[in-house]
Amino acid sequence: MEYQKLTCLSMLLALSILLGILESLFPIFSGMIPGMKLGIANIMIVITLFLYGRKEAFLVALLRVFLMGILRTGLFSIAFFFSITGMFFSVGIMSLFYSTKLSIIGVSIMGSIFHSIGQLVAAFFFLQIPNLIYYLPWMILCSLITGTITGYLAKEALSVIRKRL
Amino acid sequence: MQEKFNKGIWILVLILAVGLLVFIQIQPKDQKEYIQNFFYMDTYIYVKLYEKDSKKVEQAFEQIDTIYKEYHQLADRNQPYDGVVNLYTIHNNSLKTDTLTIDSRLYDMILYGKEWYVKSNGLIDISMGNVLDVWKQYRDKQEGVPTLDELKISDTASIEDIILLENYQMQNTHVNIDLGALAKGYATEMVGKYLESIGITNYVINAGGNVKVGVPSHKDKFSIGIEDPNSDTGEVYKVVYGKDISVVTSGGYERFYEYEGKRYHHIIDPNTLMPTNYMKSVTVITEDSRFGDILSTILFLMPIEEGKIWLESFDAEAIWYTNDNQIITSSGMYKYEQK
Amino acid sequence: MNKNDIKLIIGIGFVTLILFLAISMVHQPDAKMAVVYYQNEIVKTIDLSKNEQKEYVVEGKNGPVVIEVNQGKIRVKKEDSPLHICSKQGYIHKSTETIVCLPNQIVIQIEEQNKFDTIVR
Repeated sequence: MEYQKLTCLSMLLALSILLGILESLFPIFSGMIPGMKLGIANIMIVITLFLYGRKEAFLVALLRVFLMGILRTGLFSIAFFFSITGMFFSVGIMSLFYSTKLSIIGVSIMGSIFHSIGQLVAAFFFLQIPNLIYYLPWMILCSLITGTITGYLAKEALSVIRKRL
Repeated sequence: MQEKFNKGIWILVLILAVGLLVFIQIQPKDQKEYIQNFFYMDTYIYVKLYEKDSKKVEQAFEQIDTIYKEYHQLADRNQPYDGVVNLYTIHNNSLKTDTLTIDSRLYDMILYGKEWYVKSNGLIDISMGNVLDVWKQYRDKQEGVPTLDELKISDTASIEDIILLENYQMQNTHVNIDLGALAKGYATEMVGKYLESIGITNYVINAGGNVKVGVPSHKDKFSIGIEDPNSDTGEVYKVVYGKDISVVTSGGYERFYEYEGKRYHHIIDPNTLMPTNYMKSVTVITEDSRFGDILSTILFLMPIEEGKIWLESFDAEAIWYTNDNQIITSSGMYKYEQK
Repeated sequence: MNKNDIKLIIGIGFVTLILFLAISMVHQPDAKMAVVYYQNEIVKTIDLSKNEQKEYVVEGKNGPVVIEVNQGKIRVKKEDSPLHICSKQGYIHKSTETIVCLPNQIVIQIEEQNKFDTIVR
């Protein structure tokens, strides 16, 4: 991998982790919807996707989950498995919709929604609480909003980055 | 590309719509169940049957009523019943004969009690009717505590005085026999066997602390909640799942009275003549209700550590609720912890 | 933001509306009971039909978890975890609400009172 790409990806990964830690300090959704986050760490993943492509986005996302696991949630803890499931769903759907006529914002929205869905699936699997499905519409609604915001931020950041590269 | 995108969105919506329909479908539907309650042996008995044939159910409930009524009468040591030779008769009869002929069911229960005296090293002693009567007096008054002398004096009979003979006869030794430790389990087991004999295998019987369940048809196992001894409103501290099992609890919270800050319940240790305080409750899971009833009494009358060792020689599992509100389960309890 | 994004958002909004509708139709049980799970096993059931105030303690992965019941509602009052997400959640009382304490592996759901086939007393 050429140096510039390697450095860029590392920066994106580091920033993603930083944002992840930052957003955990502001659990604004904690009262209302279990597990909902701002998702600003996802900005970096979306940027990686549109800057370099699917494989790279997947790599950065995966490494982010692992490093966050080591730093914060505990590797192979339940929270870790939740993160990993959310990640697979979100990056997976974003990779799918990346090549469609959706703008970066639309892709970010899909990523956000499917991240929540992924976490819900993980909750069904690990916690076996069928009642959590009642939170789905709220999760979709919130993901819609957070996805739009992060998508917009990603778009702006991307245009700046592209100019510099 | 645009077409693919549009198609993609429609497929997504379709999936969600289908998912919703499935979700609505799997909401629980109504089952055809029949419930009837009975009141015998000082206990509220609840029987739930799942059956298609309502005629069969009618007959079944009638027969169940008869079974419980007859066992109630046979095991009643406080009252005579016309034409029935029961525990009252055994204790109070003024017949001049040396022997009495008793009902085969009563005979079986007394025999079972005698066998278990030996197997439990004296913890099950059906000859203690007099001692229990003393305790009942104090419990009814709700005050005072019997002295050891009082209790010892009342304890005029011992297990050896109960002598069973052939042909369902026994020596007329007027022992005040108490079958409280096994009568309910016995009757419940008989009801279960009866239901199975007429082809009803999907049933739930709850006779106070004696539960017996058959095999459910709408799921794999029945769920049986175990009441928290500290709760007075039927709250549960554990759930066990099983089919063709009996679940029996013995606890100090069922029948008791309080005097000067201490609690005196109804399960008396034959050795000390006093109620025990080793735990708040113990629940036994086993196939046979008779065995479950007796085993729960035995385990309640011995310290938990002893009970754990003792349980190993039997095909049963148990859950102890300690005085410190801890829960201790036997090693095979995992069999009953999965739905 | 382009036309397709707008279409997406409308489509999602529509789906969300249907979901909300479906949920509002979910039958609320008459007699409610709070069921406390630890590692997916029931460790306590609490009758919510009484309107008194009471506290319970259950053992979570990180230590004791204090639960408070008041006027037919239940919440986690105190627990040991890095972010205290579940104790900040507040009271729940509907069968469509759930309290999840992930670090302590405690889950509280509201269910119908006749959840078990029978209760041995």
